[in-house]
Amino acid sequence: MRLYEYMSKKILSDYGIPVPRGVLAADSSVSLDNLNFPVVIKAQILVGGRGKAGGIKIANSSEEAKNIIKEMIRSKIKDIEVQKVLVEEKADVLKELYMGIYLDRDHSTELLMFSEYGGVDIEEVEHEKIFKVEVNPLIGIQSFMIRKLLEKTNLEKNLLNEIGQIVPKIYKIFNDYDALLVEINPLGITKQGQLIALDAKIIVDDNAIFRHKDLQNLERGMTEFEKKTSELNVTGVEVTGDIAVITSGAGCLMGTIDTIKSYGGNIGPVIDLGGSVFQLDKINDTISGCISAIKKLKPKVIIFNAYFQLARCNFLAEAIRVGLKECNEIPVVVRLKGRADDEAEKILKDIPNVYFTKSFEEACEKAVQLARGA
Amino acid sequence: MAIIVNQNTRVLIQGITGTVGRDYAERMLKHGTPLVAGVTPGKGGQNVFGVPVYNSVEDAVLEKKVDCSLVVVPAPFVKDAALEAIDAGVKTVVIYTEGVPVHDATYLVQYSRLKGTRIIGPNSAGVISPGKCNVSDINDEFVKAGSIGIVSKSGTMTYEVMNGIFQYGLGVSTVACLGGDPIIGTRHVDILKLFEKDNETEAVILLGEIGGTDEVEAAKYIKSMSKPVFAYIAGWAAPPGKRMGHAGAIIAGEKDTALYKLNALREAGAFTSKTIKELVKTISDNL
Repeated sequence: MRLYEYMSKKILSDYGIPVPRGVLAADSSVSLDNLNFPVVIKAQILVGGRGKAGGIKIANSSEEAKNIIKEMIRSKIKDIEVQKVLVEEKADVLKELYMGIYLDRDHSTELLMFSEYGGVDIEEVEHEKIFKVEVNPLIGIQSFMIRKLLEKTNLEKNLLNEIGQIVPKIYKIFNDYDALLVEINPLGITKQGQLIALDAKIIVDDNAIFRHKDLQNLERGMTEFEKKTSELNVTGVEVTGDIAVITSGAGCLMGTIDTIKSYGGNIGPVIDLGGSVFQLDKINDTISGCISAIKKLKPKVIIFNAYFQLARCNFLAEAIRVGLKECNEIPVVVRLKGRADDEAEKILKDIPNVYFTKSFEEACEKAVQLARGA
Repeated sequence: MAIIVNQNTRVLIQGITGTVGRDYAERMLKHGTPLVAGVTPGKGGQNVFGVPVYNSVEDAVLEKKVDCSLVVVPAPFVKDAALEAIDAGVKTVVIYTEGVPVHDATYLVQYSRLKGTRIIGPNSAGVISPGKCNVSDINDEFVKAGSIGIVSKSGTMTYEVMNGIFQYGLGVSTVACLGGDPIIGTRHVDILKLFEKDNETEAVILLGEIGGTDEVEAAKYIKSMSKPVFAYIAGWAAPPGKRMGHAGAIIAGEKDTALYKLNALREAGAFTSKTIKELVKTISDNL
């Protein structure tokens, strides 16, 4: 879960890292009397590149700021409606740095990063201009790591000391918040030689939300479909094609979409039922919920694909039969194979608009044909 | 021989008294997997289908000798359970549980390296050497023994591929499912090295997916392998930036796309395919 900039900055500030003074605004009635001008008005949306898309603007007076707020709120930036803006005093900076820490999946370790070339996407900075130091979580951050991180920089000593003091702070945030990434970019150096976090990005591990009660009810930037599927305890991803895919298991899901695409089909919304197929007391509600969420996105075909080695196909077949009572206008392909697949076939084979098969290939091919014919 | 688990592997289940643990125990006993003990703190002295339950992994190890522990406890308790198994000297720890916090996974993977323990998972469908030992959610009744090794991230992907090759009369030596999480203990390359040395494995199927660069690392090793490798990387049809069911299955850069990985594998000498059907056909044409 990625946190909004204003939340990330609040956290940085709580840990003693300087951020610009500012207020959060949901409309233009916000009081800006306590701010010094000029100010920067920043749309609070969870996508990169908002500056170029008109999501960051400068105002020299309260009146000008309020006009910009009015324009920005409810406007769409990169297809996302802006709900809130952050109004901040514009800092006068001489130089922009980069500092970050993330979990490096390729080495199963934590990686600190620092660069004198901040202010742009770190992926665009040349490799040799980014300094990296591995932190083994068994020992945590140590002074020698910070020395190593900064030893090749050309910055003056006082400044390096200050930067060195921020490193343990972001490391603490990284651990306290179960973050996958904590990034300050840019970390500005003001004319007075002070450091200030001009933008911040914190991504919290979804699997660790149970440890962070304060984050549990946050707006997470999900689509309606993704919210609904998340409530059903399944994983939904909204994709805009016309073949909706429901599978049990992520591997089966990816195998299915690759096969459908290889037949020339367009993948629509997808759902991985995961372990929910074992929850027999809830399975009917889960499947009905999935079907109704998918129906709203108006696909031409729905395909169910599962191979059960432990769960039983007949329970899922029954849940599909019940779920389809509310949805008989969309053709449905059901491929169920494995335990109790004969019983599953009996349950579904005579329902109009439902095509049952035990074959993975046949199901994918049929779904593509139906999408074309519809 | 088979790899990682065999008929002599003494298996422990951590979380044996829960629903998942009991299901596993029942299947293992029915099909002859050498399950010797279970652990649930506070329930020592009980038994599950006759298998003794201990309060701690250390107790189980002292009384029963344990080679491999299957961890099925709920996600918030996985870190503690796996560290306990590592500390008790268990050599292989298979973590089945899904949803383990990534910081916990990183910590226990690092500790396992220090102690020389093999961790498989988290979020792993497990490991099976058919007819010998099954620490996985693959059904013993659906699997055929043979000479092909499979290394995969996903259980359900593996089901499909096995089903395909069994129809050509082929079978598997060992299947190792590594798990769908971003931080996992054992990677494709580790398993390839074991298969290369295993005298019961003649060819390897490598199943990968979008996200991370494990398969690219595997490709470097494949260049030096004597056994043929058949590869399929799932998710080339997935939209970038979206998490496809597995927590780790998300495209973040150029090198973790399915096509980049597939290219790397092809250049390393692996047979590569873009669908399961094509993979199965390539295998049947070449073996």
